Amino acid sequence: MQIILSSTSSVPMYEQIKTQIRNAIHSGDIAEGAFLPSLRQLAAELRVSIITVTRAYNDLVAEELVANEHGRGFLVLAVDAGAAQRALEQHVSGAVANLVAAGRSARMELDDITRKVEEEWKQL
Amino acid sequence: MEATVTTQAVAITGLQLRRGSFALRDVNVGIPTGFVTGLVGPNGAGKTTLIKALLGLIAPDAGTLRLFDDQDAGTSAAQDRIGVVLDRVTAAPEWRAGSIGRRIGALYTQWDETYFQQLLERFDVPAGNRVNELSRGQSVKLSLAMALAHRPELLVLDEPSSGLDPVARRDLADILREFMLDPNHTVLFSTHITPDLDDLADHIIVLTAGRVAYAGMLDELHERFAVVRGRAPFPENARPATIGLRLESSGAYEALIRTDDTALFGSDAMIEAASTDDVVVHFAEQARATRGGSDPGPSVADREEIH
Repeated sequence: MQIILSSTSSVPMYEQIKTQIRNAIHSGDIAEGAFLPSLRQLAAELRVSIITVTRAYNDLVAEELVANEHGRGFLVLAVDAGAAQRALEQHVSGAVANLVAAGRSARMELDDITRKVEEEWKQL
Repeated sequence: MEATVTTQAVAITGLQLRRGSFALRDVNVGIPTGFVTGLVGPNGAGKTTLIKALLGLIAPDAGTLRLFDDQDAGTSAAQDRIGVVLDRVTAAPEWRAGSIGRRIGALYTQWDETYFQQLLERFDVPAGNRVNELSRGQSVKLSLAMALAHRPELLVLDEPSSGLDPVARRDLADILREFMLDPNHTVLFSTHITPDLDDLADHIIVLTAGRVAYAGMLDELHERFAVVRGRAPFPENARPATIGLRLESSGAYEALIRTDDTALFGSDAMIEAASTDDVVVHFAEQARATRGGSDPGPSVADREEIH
């Protein structure tokens, strides 16, 4: 799992960390039964305060994505397949909305956008 | 939370300390174990005095400073567990950096000479140079190496980042983060350059004119305070809610308020989250106003100081 933070975004750091870990869990990048990096390790790596990571982890515990195993760390729990799918689809919907907005502001037609999506799809 | 019980590396209660015209007044504050606490305030607010008191270098007039639950400030047992970085290297100017361990190591029970030499190398401090031949950045790093080499639990740094370039400041923050990998470690970091604490400090103590204006989590500070700016007329009923109110001759105003008080201002007032600097500046302004503008005049004896 790689977390990339923006220091100029209006989204708070803990929120950015939480979202990226949540996506990694939903998509299976971090498997059930694995431990998240320790709070202090991640804080040092990302150059954020310990409290910032603590806040992100506590929220993930509240969302029942991870469990705090005292003394051992934060354990990734089984993902509810339906919830994961909904979250991933929501993520896609957001990206599509951005794509359409960008296309409209570039005065592109729907066909042009669809063609670009197809090209991108085939490249991957 | 990671730790269910928060212990205090430092507990200060009822501290009074007078030095000339300056005084720390009724300071009650704790520094939690396992976190980085920033100590901020304008020059002359008492940051260094507070640090010297907790190191036992100055005796308070009243109150207690307890370290690690059960030790008084200034005892050798407490000193052994504290690493200190002050504004100058605490070594003779003619000593060579690499020889310092042999000279002062015996003062500590856990001095680790191998580790000290490794730190000098890692921090790019030339071991053959004399203390007075080092740059500001190298001096801070030498102080840090001296502080870390005796394996302290609490690291106290007084204005370590002033005079450092951006690269050295980042190195310093990285070294502190590495120190904080151990949950039993604690850092107290004083500075008047508050952006140095962003993304580093967990807790913050704002000191203005010898008093604690705010002590708590840094991100809560940003949530609890806001800056309000508006055009005339200033809503007089809101005056008691303002901290460090500034009224321009045009009638435009600016003040720090608690987020709960935003409703006192009309919809055309602009309200924004407060930065750490906003909090420091407005509390300092408030302290100056309540003392009749006499702060910090060195010759002015403030009769209020001792209760």
